[in-house]
Amino acid sequence: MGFFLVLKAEVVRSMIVTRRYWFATVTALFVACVMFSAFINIFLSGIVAGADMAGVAVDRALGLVIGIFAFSMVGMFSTGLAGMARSGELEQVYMSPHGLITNFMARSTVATVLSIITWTILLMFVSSAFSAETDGAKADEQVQTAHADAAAVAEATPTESAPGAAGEDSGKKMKADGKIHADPLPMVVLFLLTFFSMTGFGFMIGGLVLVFKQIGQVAVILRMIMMGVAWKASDALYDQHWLLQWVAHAVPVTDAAICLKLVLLQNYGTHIFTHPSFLFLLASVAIWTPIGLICFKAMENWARSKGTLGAF
Amino acid sequence: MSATAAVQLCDVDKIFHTRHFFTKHEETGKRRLYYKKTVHAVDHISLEIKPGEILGLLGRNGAGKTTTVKMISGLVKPNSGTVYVDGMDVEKKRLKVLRKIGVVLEGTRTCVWPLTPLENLSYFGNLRDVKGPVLKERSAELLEFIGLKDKMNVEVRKLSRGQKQRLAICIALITDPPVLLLDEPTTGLDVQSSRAIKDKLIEMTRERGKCVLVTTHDMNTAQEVCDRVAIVHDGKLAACKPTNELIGLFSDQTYHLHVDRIPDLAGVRAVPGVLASDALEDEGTGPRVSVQFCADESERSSALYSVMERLRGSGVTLRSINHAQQTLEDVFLRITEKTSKNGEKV
Repeated sequence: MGFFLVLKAEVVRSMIVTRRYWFATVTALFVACVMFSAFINIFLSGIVAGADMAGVAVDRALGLVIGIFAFSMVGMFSTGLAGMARSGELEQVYMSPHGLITNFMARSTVATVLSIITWTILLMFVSSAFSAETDGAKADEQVQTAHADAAAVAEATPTESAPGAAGEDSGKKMKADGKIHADPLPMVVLFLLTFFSMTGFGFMIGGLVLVFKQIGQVAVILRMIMMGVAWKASDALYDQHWLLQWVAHAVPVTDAAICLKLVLLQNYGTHIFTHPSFLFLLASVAIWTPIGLICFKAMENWARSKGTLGAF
Repeated sequence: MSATAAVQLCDVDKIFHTRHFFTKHEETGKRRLYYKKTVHAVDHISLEIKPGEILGLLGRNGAGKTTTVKMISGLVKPNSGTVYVDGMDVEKKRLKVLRKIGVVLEGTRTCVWPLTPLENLSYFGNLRDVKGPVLKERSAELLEFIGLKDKMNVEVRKLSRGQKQRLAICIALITDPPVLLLDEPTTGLDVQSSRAIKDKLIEMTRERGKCVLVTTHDMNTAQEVCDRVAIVHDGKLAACKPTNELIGLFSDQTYHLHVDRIPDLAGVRAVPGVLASDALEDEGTGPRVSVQFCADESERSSALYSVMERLRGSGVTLRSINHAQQTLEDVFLRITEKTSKNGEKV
């Protein structure tokens, strides 16, 4: 009950701020649109004609989206939390009778939903930009592939973000063009597992930041690593040295990115539930969520003892 | 635990340890690889605040005022001792206690700047379990009470510092808590804003029965507003008494006699009932003789007449007589000085 009250408060606040600062929101969206379009174009034109260069482009684009999500999620718990401590907002939130964990769970949910909405809008723009280019100039095969991929990414994201809603139609369409396969059930499961895995990891980092504020800066490196891992993650990981494999599995975004890419790009469907990466993702959730919550709670108590909740 | 106290601190103690790497030692000035610093922020303090009472917590910077407020609000965990709010142990029932208190911390961003005061109250109300018609009604009532009704739809970032501070008090009151903790609420405010906050504090306790703990450096605020004053020095409770009693504590029956020239003080000192006398050539008010008389009223009266007679006899013109009034500031300075020297509690 407390969670939903806090969730409502956070949703209302976010909506008001987005509406009130609409120009900044639109500008940020425009800049992201341009950067993402440029990224896809550069990536496609930079690859020498290969067997599945468009597939690789979509793979990387998807990796980038997941990576940015991981980057911002952990960022909310690291630099975001340190900033809240600096401004005194953390002490205010701490004095809410719902507790810090409920507050941050609601905040991360709102941040995730907002990020999904933003990415959906952004990818729709990118997709329509590529459509216009293809229709107008009767572009060559490479551009057509790019269009298909961009459109596929754009269609995939709503399914990823709101699997129940986007569901069947987008799934059929993607299967028809043979590039993206968004089955609702695996997408819902994968999305929830990714969210919990990332939140658990975020809570662990957040707990450390509560006591050791400078970790927020160190976490930037960790966030970059996570983005890089999401970008490059593939089941080729299983061909690597066992030590590297275990290190990669320990990063919560690795298996989430592999599973999402397998379902979206290689039509794994419900077969993903038997894939080793899915099992690693389950393990990641089972490990990171309790570790994150226990660590956060313990650090919260320690922060109270040290008096660092409102200090930087 | 006292049954009548809204807030009670029982032998509360807090020590902070800080670790420093590759920094200069504060005392020796030498750079050290590592050193640990210990600060005894609150040293076994016991006090209580009754419902409908305003308690002022005074002390120098770093005396332990804010730490005390943070321990009551559960933001800092004491090393030993117990804090009770409305009969509940803060450490054991922290989340329940938070429903009973409203806190305004000094110098922190207590409200969300991109939102308006009304939206802020709605946001913090939801965060603190106040919802629906109750929230709407209370928000309107609080904005009216604090004098921000005409600014309710203006973004907080556009408000003045005093208005933001008043909004912070509104936010603290949104749950209608019986206990209000204010950490330096008038610091940096202009006279009008400061006056408005002081009036509202008095109104809240007298009319709404709230219990208020206010920390301040402003002695005038404490003297005007507080029913009782607690003075904290180096983490220790140096004094805790009703304000008038505290001010009268060092009242020493000293009279200032403004004259046209400095007389012979030996004659004044020889008068029975005169304990001490001193002369001062003040640039503004001219020559002044300060005479301290004994406590007994009749003896003091006759001694005062005798001193005036002596002055007249020696041809000195008496311009005016004032009874030297102690202020809370004088008392504060004397108590902290006394505690520094002897470590004794008043």
